[in-house]
Amino acid sequence: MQSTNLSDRILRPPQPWFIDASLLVALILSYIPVSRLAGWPDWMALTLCFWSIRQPQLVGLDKAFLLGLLVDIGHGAAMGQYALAYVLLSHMAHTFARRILWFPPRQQALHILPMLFITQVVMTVVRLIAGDSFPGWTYFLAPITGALLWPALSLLLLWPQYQPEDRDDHRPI
Amino acid sequence: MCYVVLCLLMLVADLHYRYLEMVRHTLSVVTYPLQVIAAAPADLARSASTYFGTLVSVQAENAELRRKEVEQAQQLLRFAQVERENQELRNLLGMAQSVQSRAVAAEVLYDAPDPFSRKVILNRGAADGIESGFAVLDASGVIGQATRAYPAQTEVTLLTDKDQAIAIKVARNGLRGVLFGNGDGSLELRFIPIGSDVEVGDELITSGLDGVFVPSLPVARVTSVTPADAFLRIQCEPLGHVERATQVLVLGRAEPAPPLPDPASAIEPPLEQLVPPKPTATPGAQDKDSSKNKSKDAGKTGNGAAPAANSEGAQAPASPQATPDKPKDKGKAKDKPKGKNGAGKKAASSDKKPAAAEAAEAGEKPTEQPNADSAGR
Repeated sequence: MQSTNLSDRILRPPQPWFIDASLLVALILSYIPVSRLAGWPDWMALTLCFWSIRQPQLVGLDKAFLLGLLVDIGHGAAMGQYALAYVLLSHMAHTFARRILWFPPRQQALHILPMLFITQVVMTVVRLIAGDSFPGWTYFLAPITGALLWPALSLLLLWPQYQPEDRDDHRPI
Repeated sequence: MCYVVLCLLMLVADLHYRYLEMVRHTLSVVTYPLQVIAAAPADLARSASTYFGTLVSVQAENAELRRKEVEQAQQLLRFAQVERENQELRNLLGMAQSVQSRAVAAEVLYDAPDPFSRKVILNRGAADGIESGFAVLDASGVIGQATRAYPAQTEVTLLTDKDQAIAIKVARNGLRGVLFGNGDGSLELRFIPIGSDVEVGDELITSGLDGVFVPSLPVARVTSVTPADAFLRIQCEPLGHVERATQVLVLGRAEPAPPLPDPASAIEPPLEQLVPPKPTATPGAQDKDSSKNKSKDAGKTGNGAAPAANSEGAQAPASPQATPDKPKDKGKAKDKPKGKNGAGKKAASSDKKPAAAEAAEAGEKPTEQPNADSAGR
């Protein structure tokens, strides 16, 4: 857990199984066939970005690479397309983690937006070089919805760590 | 850093050389259960909507189907008879038997999520006998090609995917060509020289020359023909409901197409047939000349393809020297002597081109370009 200026409480350490489970859920969410619904967020990128910022020592480039490959296969995309994007995303998240955590969630979202955007641009460039068709500008709505979801996602994924060490029903926390 | 390099290597290996299909298939065993879980809500919604579909619409559909069945029953009866007759006639003439096909009925599960391509996923796979390369069609025509057969699912690249190619001929006169997807829902018949006999409203059917598709499946209809530079710009619309089909048939050849003849064993046509003999030509120059003239000649026959193709009609030319339809082949023809000198395996395989070009292109996207293609088939 890294220090933040606003946290007035000490969070519990994260459970590695919870991180893995959340990544698995994100993977399943990313497999939902939504028929190219404009603005459907990239759940995998969001979750991966979150844990890369919060727990860089637990979620590294290796996980980003492996999960990227699994998304590639599930989406029928080029092998290495998502892997490349997620590795870059994870690297950016590691680099900016200390800065980002200094901000409250809404302002964190403003930092997440360009990072998600860059991952999409990387994927677009890769596929355009490979000779595929341009997916249309609505493709770039996904980072925006992703950034909008960021505060809620932060709350959700930190929920287990917000729980008190020993629950006391007579104490109002 | 090393991960980035690894990703880039994988991208090149996959997009350019298609080396990673094994990895993809292996890892798909891991992702398949997750995909099933992810698709469960969509499945539920679909079955619920079918369940609650109003009685009226079902009755209407039923009536329509019955009418069609009666209509098609008598066609089918005649078809059986005509096919028998055709077989007997072919026997009498000593011609090769027409292509036998095998079919698997399947359902479109969902659009593949990849936004850069137009693909759908079917609910049948290699376990049901589907192989990559099979044609996929709905009730009115071809909608795409199975490009990856997973054990329980098949990935179909739709005709409208950018640069997805299919070898076709004009049903009216047998003029051959290759139809490409534009990536925006329309199709384009490319490299047909100006002056060829193509009209608006012409129906295009598969030629089967690619060695992959079953011949004579309806594909598209010509919507506009405008001259541009050296070639006609021919826009077409698919006959099948490419983007909306739900029930499809996956159709493949029962046996693989006959192997392409080895280009090394090809007999050079005597020079006199190609050019009026020039009295003062050194042997080296002659050699050069012959290749040049051959390519020119190929181009010429390609240009004048309409009458030649007319006479050939439905009959598939067997030799690789038969008129190539595309200007690309001109280049290939020029390459020929070089490849023979090199004698490397790769050179030989890329030499197979003229007839193989179509096969390769219909089989795989041409963006993956020459050397990868025929090796895969």
